[in-house]
Amino acid sequence: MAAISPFSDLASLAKALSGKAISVPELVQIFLSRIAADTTNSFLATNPEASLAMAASAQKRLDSGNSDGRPATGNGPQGFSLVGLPIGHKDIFVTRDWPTTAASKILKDYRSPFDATVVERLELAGMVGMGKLNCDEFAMGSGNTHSAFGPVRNPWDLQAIPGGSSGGSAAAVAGGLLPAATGTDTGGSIRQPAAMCGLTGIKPTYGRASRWGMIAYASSLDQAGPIARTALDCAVLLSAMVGFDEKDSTSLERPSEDFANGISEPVRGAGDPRLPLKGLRLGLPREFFSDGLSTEVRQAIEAAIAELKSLGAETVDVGLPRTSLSIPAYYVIAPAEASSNLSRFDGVRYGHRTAGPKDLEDLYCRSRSEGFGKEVQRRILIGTFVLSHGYYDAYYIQAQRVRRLVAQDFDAAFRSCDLIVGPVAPTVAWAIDAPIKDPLQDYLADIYTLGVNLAGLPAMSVPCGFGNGDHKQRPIGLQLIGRKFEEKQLLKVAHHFQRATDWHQRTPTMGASE
Amino acid sequence: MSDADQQEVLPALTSIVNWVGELRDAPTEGVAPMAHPHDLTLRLREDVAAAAVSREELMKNAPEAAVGLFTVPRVVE
Repeated sequence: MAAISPFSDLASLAKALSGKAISVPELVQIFLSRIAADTTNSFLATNPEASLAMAASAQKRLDSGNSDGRPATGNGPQGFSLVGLPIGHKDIFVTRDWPTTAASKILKDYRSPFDATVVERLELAGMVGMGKLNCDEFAMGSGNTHSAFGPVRNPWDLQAIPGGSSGGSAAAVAGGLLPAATGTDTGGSIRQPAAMCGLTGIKPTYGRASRWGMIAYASSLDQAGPIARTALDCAVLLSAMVGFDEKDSTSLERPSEDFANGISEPVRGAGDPRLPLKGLRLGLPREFFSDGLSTEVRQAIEAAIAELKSLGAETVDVGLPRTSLSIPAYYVIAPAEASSNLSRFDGVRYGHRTAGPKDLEDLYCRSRSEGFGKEVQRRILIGTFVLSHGYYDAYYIQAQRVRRLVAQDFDAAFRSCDLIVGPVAPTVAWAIDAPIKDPLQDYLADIYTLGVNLAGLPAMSVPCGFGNGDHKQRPIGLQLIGRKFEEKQLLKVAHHFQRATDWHQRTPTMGASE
Repeated sequence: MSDADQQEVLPALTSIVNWVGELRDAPTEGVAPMAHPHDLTLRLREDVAAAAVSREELMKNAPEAAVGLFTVPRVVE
């Protein structure tokens, strides 16, 4: 068995498997051992027996030559087969092989009778499920400090948050416990932890990935996507994850694509291979580079833009004038939808039920008060308030009007550019033990990611540097935002950027297991 | 919620509500509310029975159940 680095990308692991340098069970064992020694609190559940059984059947599939997975993946010249490659799932996806908690006490020990469509599709593609990943409770948070099962640490700097809400997904991949993970993104929850952990992550166009079996936070904003090391890995994973699903009423009747096919080609087809981005117009929204942006993040983003220009891209100044209004609009719409979605957790059909309720109302109140954490309670209360009689028009309907303006701003910007580029977050990861501040401070940190969800656009995060001084171990992510259904172009640009840079190949020196 | 919890959550809620209040000053005359990223109508499926998870399987997570039903404290005297 060849020495395999746990920090390898999926493409190299696929090559090792197809070249028989390692078997699937051996590969899975490497990661199971890494997970057992985890110091970041990334995992909420593992099931080595189930993972090894999946590994054995994946090995059989490889041996019998049926290694092409789903038709959409692995067939392109740049693609690869997902058969036998390990993956972990954010604990927002329901699974039969592991308990599903949404990192909440209210679902402690809950066992789903079915698998989420995204999980099912990745298993059909031959991937080996490795367990469930910690996150903010019901995906509500930006630092993974709101999990009922404790915060997740950033493997780059154990004193820092990993980002959130898909913090366990990002920390596990960054720490070499997994080569890839699923995440969900309602207001930045894939992009921001990917950025803060030095990884690549993509949120597709709303409606591309099935929400069946994804515990709902805000149904008109939630989307699933992958977090991995490279744009190529994300392209292959996304190809297997998305596609029409009749079980999700908001799933778009649009087939998946092979997002890896042609990923190495220049964006305008033929042309000088040294200038693969020639003809591409990058829009720089001035609101993304204003006062709130920290100097260290600004420097890294400007250097990344210079790199993209050296690959042939040109830049244009664009405006997204409703950027700051998108934050309160989001924090009305998302809690409103959450208050409705989370009403199903009532202590009657599943989940936590209080002991000795004196009547039905007492059962509801105490089960929910005991089961939900503080941030979830805050958002339910806000959501209930903005939907209540007398406030509905002033808050909820008004937020939906602003939502349309935010979407129109993106449409207008895309008339003069092909892609929008900027930071994912205004700062690097903050300290995990920072005193509990006003929740508003956390909300404001989502300023560059929320608008994308309100408009339903695809967007990704690509590693592009590190902070300064005390923050030398805290990664920075470049955000790429595309028009609806232009995931392929985002991935292509990210791929060319990664051929020219090595930020995505860096690994934490302190390591999760040291 | 206990009194102590209420005292704790109140200032946070007040500050969030005041802050989202800035939305009210945004000029939105003539703008239609947007409930969803795509302007689409919900799809309907054929009205035929489809495979579903069994009742037993679905009720395994019930905190309390009897004879295939969820049980709760008495509601009707």
